Amino acid sequence: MVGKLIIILSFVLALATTVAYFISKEKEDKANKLGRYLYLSLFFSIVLASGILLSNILSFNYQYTYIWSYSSKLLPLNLLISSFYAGQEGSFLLWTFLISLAGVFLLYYTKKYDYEPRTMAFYTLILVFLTLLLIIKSPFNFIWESFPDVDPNIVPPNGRGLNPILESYWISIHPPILFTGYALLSVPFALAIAGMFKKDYTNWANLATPWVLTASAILGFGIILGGFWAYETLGWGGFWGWDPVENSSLLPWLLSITLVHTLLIQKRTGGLVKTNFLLAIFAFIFVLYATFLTRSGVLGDTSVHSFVDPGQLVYLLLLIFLVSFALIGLVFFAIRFKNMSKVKIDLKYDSREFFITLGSVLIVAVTLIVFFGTSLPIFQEIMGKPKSAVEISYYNNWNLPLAILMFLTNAFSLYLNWKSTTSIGIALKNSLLSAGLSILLTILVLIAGVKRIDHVLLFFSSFFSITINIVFIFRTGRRKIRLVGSYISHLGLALLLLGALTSSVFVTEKHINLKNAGTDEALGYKFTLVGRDQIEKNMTDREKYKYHLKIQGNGVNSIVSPVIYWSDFNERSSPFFEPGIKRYITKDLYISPNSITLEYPYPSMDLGKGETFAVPFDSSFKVSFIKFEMTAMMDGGGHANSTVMPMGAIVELIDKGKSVIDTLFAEVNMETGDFKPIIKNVPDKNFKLGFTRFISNSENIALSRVEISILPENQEITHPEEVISFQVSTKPFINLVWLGVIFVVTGLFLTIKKPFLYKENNIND
Amino acid sequence: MKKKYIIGAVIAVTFAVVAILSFDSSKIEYTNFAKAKATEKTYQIIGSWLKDKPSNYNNKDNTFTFYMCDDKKDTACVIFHGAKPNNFDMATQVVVKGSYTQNNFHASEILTKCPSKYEAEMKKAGS
Repeated sequence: MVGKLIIILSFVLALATTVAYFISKEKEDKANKLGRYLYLSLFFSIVLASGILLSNILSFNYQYTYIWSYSSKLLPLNLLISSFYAGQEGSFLLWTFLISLAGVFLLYYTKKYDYEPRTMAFYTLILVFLTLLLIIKSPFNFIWESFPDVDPNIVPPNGRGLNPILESYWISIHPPILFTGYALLSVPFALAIAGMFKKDYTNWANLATPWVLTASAILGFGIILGGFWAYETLGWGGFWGWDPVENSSLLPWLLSITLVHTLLIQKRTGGLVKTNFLLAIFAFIFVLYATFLTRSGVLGDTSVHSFVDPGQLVYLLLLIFLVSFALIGLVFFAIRFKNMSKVKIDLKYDSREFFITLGSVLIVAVTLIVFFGTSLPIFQEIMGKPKSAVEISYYNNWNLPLAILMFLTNAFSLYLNWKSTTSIGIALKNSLLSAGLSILLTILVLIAGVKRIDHVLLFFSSFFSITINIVFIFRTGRRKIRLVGSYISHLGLALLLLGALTSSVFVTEKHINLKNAGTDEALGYKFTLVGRDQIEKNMTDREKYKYHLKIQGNGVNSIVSPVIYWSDFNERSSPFFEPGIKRYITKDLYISPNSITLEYPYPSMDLGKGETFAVPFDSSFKVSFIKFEMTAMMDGGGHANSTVMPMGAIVELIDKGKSVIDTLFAEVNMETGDFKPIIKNVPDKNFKLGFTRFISNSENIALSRVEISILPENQEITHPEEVISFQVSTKPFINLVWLGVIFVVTGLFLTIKKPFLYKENNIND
Repeated sequence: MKKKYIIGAVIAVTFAVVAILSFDSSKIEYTNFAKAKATEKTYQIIGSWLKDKPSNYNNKDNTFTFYMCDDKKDTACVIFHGAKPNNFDMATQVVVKGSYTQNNFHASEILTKCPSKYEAEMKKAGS
């Protein structure tokens, strides 16, 4: 009850803060001071609400539906804390908390630079919406409120717990960082609106710059950590898959990074005023769009991430949230449009600002490509056309040429000066050395077998960007370390794309099956399954093993241990997998288990329809497979209560010319896929027969085969052996991706400076 | 000002090209089995896994075969080129992407939609 009241209190405080800041007429008047106190109370109220949720999670209070749904007594402390934001309600609260926290810094920041009332008014308006959302989608609903037929006196003894896929230290790191990035992008939006409100078209931009840089750094880091999580623990094989959820977080980052460039141009030349307003507005709108896409369930059928339908009301509120803020931004923009257009920019082709603008246009182009691709299913639905989605190749094919141009633009722009004091000719001459070196490196890549022209060009342009940025880091670094930030970031981006390219173009992959102590060869290595060890033995809800694979060859001799486990979460019906990765400087050896099959250790024959085989040690006895007997299975409906069904193989048994038609049966558990053969004695023979495996045909199900095993007469059937399937692959130079990200983020942080304000600007509130 | 137009032109050209060329070629429609069967085009089909019909993972060629029913209640055998996804058992809905050949739907990708299972569980506990 208390939690809900505090959320309502927060909503009221947010409304009051907004009103007070709007009323404020001049600096430090009553309304201004009131607004400040109200904002700080709002912040404490949100902290309190978050504290209540957290303390209830830590004290295992499963009266709350939200806590019961995502938390459990079995979780270690770090995951217990993370279950705070494992569901929608909690992640809204985390987002609200982070925005309100950033707002405290923004409050004192704008106070210092004389921008407080208007900025905070619009900033707090965001919190009005979020707290309203939290009233409707409350993490403080009781079990008996969510499920009316549940007896209110019964408190569940334990929660349902996290999805085991999420049980990783990454859940403690990735979402909070991502949400911090999202929260920080509310700041440039509020400053932009305040700027338009105040008819100040320059200072807002300078004030926003450090925030945009911080948001870009943190959001970018958060996004790639998600990719690293997918690669390292989830076993998706790569770090980026152009999934709608990934794309939706990329969109605000792309605009934020564009804003970094265009704000710089405005600072240097006074131009791109309108562009900057629009970018600041849309970067924030894209944060809301990302929330809408991932929280409203609209893309449920097109993403690998799972979505929970939040209900019509939340869907509508999120849409209203999105549309209102877009309208606020665009209406202000329209009103001030004429006023702003006085500022003109003179872009000369041979100036640095021209090339940076070109670069910004390219990033916006990437943004639009990703936006259209991600939103296609929604557009199609709105237009009443059949629903459709784009292929992943769409993103790669369209963004690749843009990336090539981007790197060339970046590299070239460094040799040009602001306001065109260097001619293009001189710039070209200065970049000759780097160009030559890049051509040499590209020839190496061609020798290594890259064929696609766009890949070759991307290799060349990233080498070009890398070499030129390194030159500039050393040139400038000696003078002033602060100035190298942008070179480091661009170097990082080029390294990142280079790594993405090498790890996908030069990837080698193979599927292998291993029994315990079994060996197989793939990709020039010898893989031996040497055993397994149970881990996390104290956890009763799971059975988790590390499978040890010995890898030999190519100068490697080591053990990699991917993880396979069964969890109560899905009633142990099928295993979960985590990849094993052997890391080298130049490549990763990626071993991803994906299936366990049970096989019998008996001599067997693998038969297709109409095929005949002789028993290996008694060639007078032949078995011919006629067809499947699956009537019981195919009319499944009639046996609704039974999960175990018979599957038969009709065979012809031929003994010294005498033929008998018979059916060999197996009991199949339809849920777990367990296959239990019913062993059949063969009269007058010293062996028995069993239908031990159904081998589906990968081209046509009608051509599926059966495995018939031959058991010694006096032996009962033993347990089948586990055969584990692995997808093994090498990812050359994937480390460049991680190294690149570190550079991008470090560079952005290095660039952050105190804002510089134009004194002559007369600011009327 | 002239340069602004050049930049504008770059934007316009980029997007005209993107809009016209890319969407049609890389668009994959959602449809049902009956329509997918008529052509060899790649489609996405939403439906549910028929758990009471045989399913099997073939570890020799890394394919997972199962029966699926689309929203028109048409049933087809789906051969997925990969292992069984690990949340497949819990899925209420599956989306397969692929095309028809030789009477089977060959899928290159499976998306699974998992329910908020605890709701069903709670209702069971309550009744």
